[in-house]
Amino acid sequence: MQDCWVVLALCWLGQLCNLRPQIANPKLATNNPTFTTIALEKPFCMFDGLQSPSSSFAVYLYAMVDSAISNDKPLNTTFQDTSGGQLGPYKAASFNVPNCASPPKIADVANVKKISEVLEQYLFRVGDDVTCLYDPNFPDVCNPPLAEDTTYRFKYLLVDVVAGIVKEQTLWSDPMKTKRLKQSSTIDTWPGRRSGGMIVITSILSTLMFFLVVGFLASIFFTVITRAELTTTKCQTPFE
Amino acid sequence: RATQTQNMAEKGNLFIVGVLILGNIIILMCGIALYAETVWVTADQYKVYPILGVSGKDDVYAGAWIAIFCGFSFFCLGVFGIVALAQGSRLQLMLYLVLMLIVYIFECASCITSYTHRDFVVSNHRMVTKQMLSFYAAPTAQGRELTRMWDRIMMEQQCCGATGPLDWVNHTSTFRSFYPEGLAPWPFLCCKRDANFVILSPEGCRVGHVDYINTKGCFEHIENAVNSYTWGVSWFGFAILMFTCPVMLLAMYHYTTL
Repeated sequence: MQDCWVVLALCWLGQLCNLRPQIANPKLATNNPTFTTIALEKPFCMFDGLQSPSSSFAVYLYAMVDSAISNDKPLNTTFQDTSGGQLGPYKAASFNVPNCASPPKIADVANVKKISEVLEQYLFRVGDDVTCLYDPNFPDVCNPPLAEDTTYRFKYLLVDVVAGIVKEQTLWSDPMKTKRLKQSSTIDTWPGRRSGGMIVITSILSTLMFFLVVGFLASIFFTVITRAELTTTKCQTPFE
Repeated sequence: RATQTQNMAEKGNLFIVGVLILGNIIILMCGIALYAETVWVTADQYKVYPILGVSGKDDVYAGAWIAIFCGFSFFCLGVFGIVALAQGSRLQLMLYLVLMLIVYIFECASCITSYTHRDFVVSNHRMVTKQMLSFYAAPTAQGRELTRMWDRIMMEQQCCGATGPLDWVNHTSTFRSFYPEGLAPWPFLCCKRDANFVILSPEGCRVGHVDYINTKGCFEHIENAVNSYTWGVSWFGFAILMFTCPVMLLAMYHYTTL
């Protein structure tokens, strides 16, 4: 059990040294990683040929913050024990060893009847359970939401459930970072440059309005002048 | 010789009167068309009023209301102008010019406000996005109104968010404060549905697989709606004003010769 994180000793067993948890196919999960979750591909055929039929096996998934030191921890370390993976790896999930003989086909996702099953078989979403942390009687492995804008690493372990020992493990995955949410209140709504249409309408209409007002005043002025001239001429005529 | 000049002047006047009457017939027809069109705008066929209402600046509609008044006034004044020209009355023509000038100024205001406000709302998607994020799912009267509108648009147009589903997961929002991300990364109206309006696959929608989520944003629809309203109010009004200006200048000239 103490040696459960030692990788080197197991290297001779196979290509496990090159195997590490992978982030889920981006075609399948477009929203990944999210703010609080990271969806991983389940370890298909990674632990092939290591399972003896006499015992029963399970895959344990461990997660830790990238900056944490991968020190020795008991297998059942929880999220709370490591303050969310900051002090070391915690157990995020345990599930059956994926079936290597008939892995799910990604193409089947387009089929409405099969998608639920394919996603269940293919994906594991770390940070998916929002309630387990607040439930004191939660029986299973708790998989609470991850922290935002934090880099995590993951590792799969093949565990002999009956004997309680680690049979095999993958390398730590590449760092994967959860998303950082932008504050919606900081979105700048400034419309930017005025559109051409607005400039055209405003400038031309202002000019036309100016012409009309000037024309109106001019016509009044002109009429008043001519009227005055007419009256003067009319008044002057009889005296000549 | 004096009689000849007078005859010449009357001939000239008659021609101008003819042109003015023709111009007024066109103005009154345009006026009634503008009236009809802006009634269509205020009826809000695309039902995007909440976006403008909640933003506190619904000037596109204010412009439309002014244009309803102006369109009808142009119609009435066109009729009145024809009567005044036919009678050759100075007083009536003066009244026509004054009223026409007032309506002209109002219509200019309508065109300019409407277009300026269009720029404010749909020149880019950010204002609509921000408003959606802060009001969708909010338990206030405005929030409910806007939520209903967004739900309807997302349902009818089969679109999601303002620019796409990622609007909901990249930003903080009122919606997010009510629904955790793992449960509902985006409103379920973003999910693709079958003919019976049942979600095809909630799991597929939740992980965001393109076959199970509407990836198109709704901003395009909103932009089209606001643009077509503005087109009706601003550009049509603008065209009428462009035509009315020379007619009025000619009427002013005619007034001085009476």
